Amino acid sequence: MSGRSVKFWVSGTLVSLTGVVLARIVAPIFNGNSTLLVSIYLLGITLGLAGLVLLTFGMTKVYRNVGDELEAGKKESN
Amino acid sequence: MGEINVLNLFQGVATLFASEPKIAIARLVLIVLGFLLVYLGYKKILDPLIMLPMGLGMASVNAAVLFIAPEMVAMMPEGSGNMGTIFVAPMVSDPASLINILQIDFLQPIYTYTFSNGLIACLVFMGIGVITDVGYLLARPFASMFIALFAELGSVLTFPVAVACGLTFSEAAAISVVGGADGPMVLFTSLMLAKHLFVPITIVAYLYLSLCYGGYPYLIRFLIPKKLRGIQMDLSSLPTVSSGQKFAFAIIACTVLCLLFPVAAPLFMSFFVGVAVRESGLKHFAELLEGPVLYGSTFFLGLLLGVLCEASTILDPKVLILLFLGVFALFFSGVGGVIGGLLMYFISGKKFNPVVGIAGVSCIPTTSKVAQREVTAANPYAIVLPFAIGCSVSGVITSAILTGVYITLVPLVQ
Repeated sequence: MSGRSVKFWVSGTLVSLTGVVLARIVAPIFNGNSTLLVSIYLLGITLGLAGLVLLTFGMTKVYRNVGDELEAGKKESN
Repeated sequence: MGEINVLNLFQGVATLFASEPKIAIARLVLIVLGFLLVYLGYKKILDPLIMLPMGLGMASVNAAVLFIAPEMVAMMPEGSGNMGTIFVAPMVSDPASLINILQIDFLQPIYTYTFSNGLIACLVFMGIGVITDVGYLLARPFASMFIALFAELGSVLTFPVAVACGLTFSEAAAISVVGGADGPMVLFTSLMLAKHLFVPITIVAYLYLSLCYGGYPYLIRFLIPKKLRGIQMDLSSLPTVSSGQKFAFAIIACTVLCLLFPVAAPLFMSFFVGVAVRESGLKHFAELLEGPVLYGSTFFLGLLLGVLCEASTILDPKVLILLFLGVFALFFSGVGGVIGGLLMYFISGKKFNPVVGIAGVSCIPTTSKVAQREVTAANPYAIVLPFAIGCSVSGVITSAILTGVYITLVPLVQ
């Protein structure tokens, strides 16, 4: 795993956890003010999910060459 | 020798004459509907895995009404009358009565210990987790999530409409989740938010989910021109992701989502434990979950849904509203998915097949299969299934998130 990938994994996890803190710890503090409570809760959820999406950019992706695979398949069948 | 009342020998028929006319008519209609569901399942027009047990259960439970003994009547909830079945008694809540009923109604143990607490939904989710390859989602996370969010249009739009129809916030949220086209999710949400309506809501949901199979192709053909339906997507643009990374993603995503939505945590845990089993190569666990657990749960789910379709349940005036809202939710989710697909088509420079959008409706793998079928009909050489499965997996996750939002927020704001 490259250094760039690790950065995405770590930052994605941290952003998600920040979202969790906002939604589960900060939002309930504003129990009397439902507008603020719901706003912070939704912001927390959005951050939590954004962190998960950010994390996926750290995946090492291998692109296949479909042309080569088809050729290989033809040779095998022959 | 005393006089014999012949009708008492055939109580299934005798109870038709003894009950109110509207109940008798509803029973006959439900028996016919049960036959129809079995037939449509047998012909594979509707999903046979649910429709065969459900249809047969529906026909049987409405045919098998009998006069019940006075000591048993005392165990039933008030207003049940002196007629009933020995299949299941869903509304019994008194613990002493429940213990007695458990020894009489043959499906009561499965209903009480797996259905009414949401366990069966979690078991189905474990099986879905094992058969789901999250690699397709991780390969193209933006496109998959983008489409899945659009495919939640029905779940979002239905909520205000349901409130306008006179439902409470909890009831409205429970029926809105039908738009996610995910049966176990609907079962779980209605149990959490509207337990009194969970039987009709779940029945409506599963009836309609099968209709997705038959109805969405028409929606696709109506909204997307044939030229666009035949677009060939570049399979080499879809990368593969290693098992280790998929496993790590499943663990992190499960933990974050459980922290965010503790009330929906059983569903998240069930889904991601299935994914983790698959990616860690635990072959025996995988075989157990994708075979006996998934198919066993689906079978009993269908059977229980069928036997819960008693005339008295269906005659609840709210069922008509639920029937309308269910269609509304699924229709707009389908439309939302197609809109998402069309937007991706333009964003990608006209390389993305918009039919994939329908797979954002998370009825995995039905909507993916529908997408591929429609694309094949337009162009036999076009393959979109891997892209469609990515969207369906995202759909499962976004539906679960929306469920979590509803279950968490609705009790706070009402």
